[in-house]
Amino acid sequence: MIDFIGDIFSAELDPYVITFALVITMVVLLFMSFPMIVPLAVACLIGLLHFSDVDPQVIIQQMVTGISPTALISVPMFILAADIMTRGKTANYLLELIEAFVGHKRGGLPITACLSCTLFGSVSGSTQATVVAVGQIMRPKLLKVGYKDSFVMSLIINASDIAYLIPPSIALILFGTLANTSVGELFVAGIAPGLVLALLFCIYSYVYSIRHKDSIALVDKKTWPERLKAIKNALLPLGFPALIIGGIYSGIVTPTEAASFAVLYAIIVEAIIYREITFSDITKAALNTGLITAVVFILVGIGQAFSWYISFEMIPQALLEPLELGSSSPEFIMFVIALSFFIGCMFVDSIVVLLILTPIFMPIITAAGLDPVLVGVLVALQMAIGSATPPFGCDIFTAIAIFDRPYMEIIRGTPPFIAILLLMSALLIFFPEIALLPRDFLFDK
Amino acid sequence: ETWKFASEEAKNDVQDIYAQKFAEVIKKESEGDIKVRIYYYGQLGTENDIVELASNGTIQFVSVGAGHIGSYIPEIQALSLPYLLNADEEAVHEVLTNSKSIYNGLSPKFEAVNLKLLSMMSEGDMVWGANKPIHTPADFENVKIRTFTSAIPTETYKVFGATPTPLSWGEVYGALQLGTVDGMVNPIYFIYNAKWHEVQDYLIFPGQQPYISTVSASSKWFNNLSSEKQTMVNKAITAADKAAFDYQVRINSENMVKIREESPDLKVIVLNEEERGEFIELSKSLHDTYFDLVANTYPESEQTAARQNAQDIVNNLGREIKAAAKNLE
Amino acid sequence: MKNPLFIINRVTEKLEAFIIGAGIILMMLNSVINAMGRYLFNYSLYFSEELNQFLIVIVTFVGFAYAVRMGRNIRMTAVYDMLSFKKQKILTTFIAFSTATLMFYLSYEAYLYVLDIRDINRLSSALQIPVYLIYSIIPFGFFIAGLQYASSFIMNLLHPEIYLSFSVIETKDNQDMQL
Ligand code: NA
Ligand code: NA
Repeated sequence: MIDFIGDIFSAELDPYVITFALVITMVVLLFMSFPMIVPLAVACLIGLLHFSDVDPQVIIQQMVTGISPTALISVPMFILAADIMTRGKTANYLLELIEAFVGHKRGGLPITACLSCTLFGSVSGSTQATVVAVGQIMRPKLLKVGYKDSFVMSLIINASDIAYLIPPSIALILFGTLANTSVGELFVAGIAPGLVLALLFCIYSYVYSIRHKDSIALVDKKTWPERLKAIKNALLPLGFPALIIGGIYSGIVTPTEAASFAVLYAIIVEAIIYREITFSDITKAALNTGLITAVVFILVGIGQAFSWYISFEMIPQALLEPLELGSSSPEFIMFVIALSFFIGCMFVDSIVVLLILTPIFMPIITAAGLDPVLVGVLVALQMAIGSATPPFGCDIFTAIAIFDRPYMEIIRGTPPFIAILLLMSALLIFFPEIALLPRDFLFDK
Repeated sequence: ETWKFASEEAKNDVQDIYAQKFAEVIKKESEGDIKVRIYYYGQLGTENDIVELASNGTIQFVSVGAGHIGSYIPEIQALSLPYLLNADEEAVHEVLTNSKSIYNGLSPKFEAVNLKLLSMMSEGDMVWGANKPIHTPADFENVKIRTFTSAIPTETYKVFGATPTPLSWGEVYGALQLGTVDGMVNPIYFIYNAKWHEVQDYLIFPGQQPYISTVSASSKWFNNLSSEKQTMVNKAITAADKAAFDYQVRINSENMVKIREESPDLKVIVLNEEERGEFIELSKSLHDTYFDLVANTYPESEQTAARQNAQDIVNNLGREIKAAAKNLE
Repeated sequence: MKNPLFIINRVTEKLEAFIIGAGIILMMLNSVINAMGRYLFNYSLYFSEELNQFLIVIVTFVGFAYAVRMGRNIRMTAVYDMLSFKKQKILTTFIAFSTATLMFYLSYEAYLYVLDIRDINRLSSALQIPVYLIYSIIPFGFFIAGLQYASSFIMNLLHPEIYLSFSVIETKDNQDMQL
């Protein structure tokens, strides 16, 4: 132990020494309640300056790289659209519609929230955008009837992350390219596990609402005339999902651009048709959007810088070496892959983990004769888990920024969801047919 | 001692094969004293990032497409001009590894960004993917083709009559599948790796230009190497040039076979001489685009000289490729 | 409180807010116009992607400074919440000081980075404009964030309350975030 600490101070370029030093730094600063950028930046600087003697300018360069992917633009756009809709009437009309049909049923609201997140996430391709768009609209309603905030926020975060499994999924596209695997097959293989997961979340929501039925109010069953009125009111707001889904699947817009059209639609509906919001409301919404975006993206950026360093010193490779995966059973390899992605995603953004780890595992996957489509789905699932797992989870940050709640409260409700997600991982490893049967059927394998 | 070599491509793509061979030779020549650590796509950031990392000496070698070097040295975009280097593979290889106009003519420009250009390679002929047959510029009407964002490729497809549409590559698969864009352009081996053949109906061989990438070293670092080590690097470069060339030829033809197997309905078109002629005619105007582009990156007083220099590069490249083709006959 | 410092503070705040809001609106217009142009008129904005990247850089770094000013930052307060007021105050003061130092350091590194890409004359691929012009916002963003933390440090020394930034006092509500 003394030697080990000695190694840290003498900047021994050893992967275990570096990992230990950086993780300890991060955890200590994190628990001291430093702003989140500090633990990551300091850990990164210790690596660059103390262990590796690399010009620290790279932090700035990589922060820019981290926030540059085109698809990230959809995040502020959906935040803005949701903000405008909640300032106006759109969000309420949508909620009244949902309430009119499921409000009197046990678990009706959280199940609707869960399915909305799955649907919206799959279409928009952005889990953060889903947290914002669905969360912003559904959360107040769920709170009003008595659901606990920690449950509601965890449900929204985790249900949004199912988007990684359902096409068009950026995770599966990236994996397909990095692993030289058919994206079409990955898409088909991701659907069933995604749906099973959504189903499990719905079941949990139902069980939760039964167990807390004393504190959760049901609304009276609505009559059909009331329901028709709700439908009529919701026609324009329903144009919003229709626009996004229709625009993307007809190829008119990319998923990223659809987000901007959602903003335009929200402005047209609220400012011109309903006359509910003014120009100054829009500028306020834009400022608020920029603020939330910045709070989250600055962390995406610094996370990229941190992972750059890990990647530069090839630390994951070094940590995996002693496991001798070359001569292990397929189940064990899958387990290690899942665990590595799981741990990686705890500290760094999921997409970054994908970029770093996939090339490392590919030779092992090929050598072991594993089906890369199965691995791809498993990896996408870990990324989904990772985005909602503390300490570093983009969707957690988004939720903090948008719902204005403390970190601890947001993650308090996650354990049951993580348990379900881990159960799903185990199912995938031991019953790969869940993912592979539809693929085999469609692609004649 | 560890040298670091970053490429913009994934493991076992052409640039990575280049790096692997390079590492192997260095290891052997240095009797194991020097290890070369290879980074692939995304591990150290974007294409621009790795160029800058080599420029500031954080890594020693960088391999990226010529277009990306063009962000720092606009002259190099001559290599992006269509129908300038549209010759036999061997002749292109000869010019890319020996071109005086590039290696000697541009070396001060590379020096200015602290890079030393060591080599260039072709990764195979660029092929158009589309969802309709394309034989003439007229066929390109209303075809949205995904290109790189830089000026020459964008202008090229504008001139050809298509709608050049920049998209980040993560979005291309989905965009082709749903018809947001109609086509794209890339070498065969890459099209197969990115699985874009799954979402295209036609592959068209226009005989237009290869995808060219560059290999550079951090120049201050390289100049301070002992002459022994410099010789080692040059030796490794020569071996890697050959390995990447052989691999490129092989992987492009192998992946074409795989594409045909996996997508039997996909149709392949090779433009005939007459059809090609129409595109060649149109691409002549792009030379001016290139000259303007280079000139505009200089202050007013230096623009005439810069334009002249750019013209010389294009003329010399044309001459070099003709001579190389002739030598091969 | 109409001293010059106060006025400068107000002016930079307004300026930041304007840049952030305008950046977000421009992003929306840029994407919408590009998609409409492509679908309706077969004309794509060749620089659309690049412009959005520039805007996101500007919004992120200016927005970060603005978020610090507003006392909005993501932090984990599990341990912090258990401390006494006095210990919380000491910890916050210490955090403000060390975070300010880190921000100034990052600002300096960002300044060096900007100089570097100016020296190697990096041009953006689509618009062909010098990239350093855009990235100059980064050292500014960190510098203003640093100033905010530094003034929060000073406010914590001078006043009995816990200051999250120059003008935001911690209350039960905004322990993690406040708007
Ligand atoms: Na998806
Ligand atoms: Na995480």
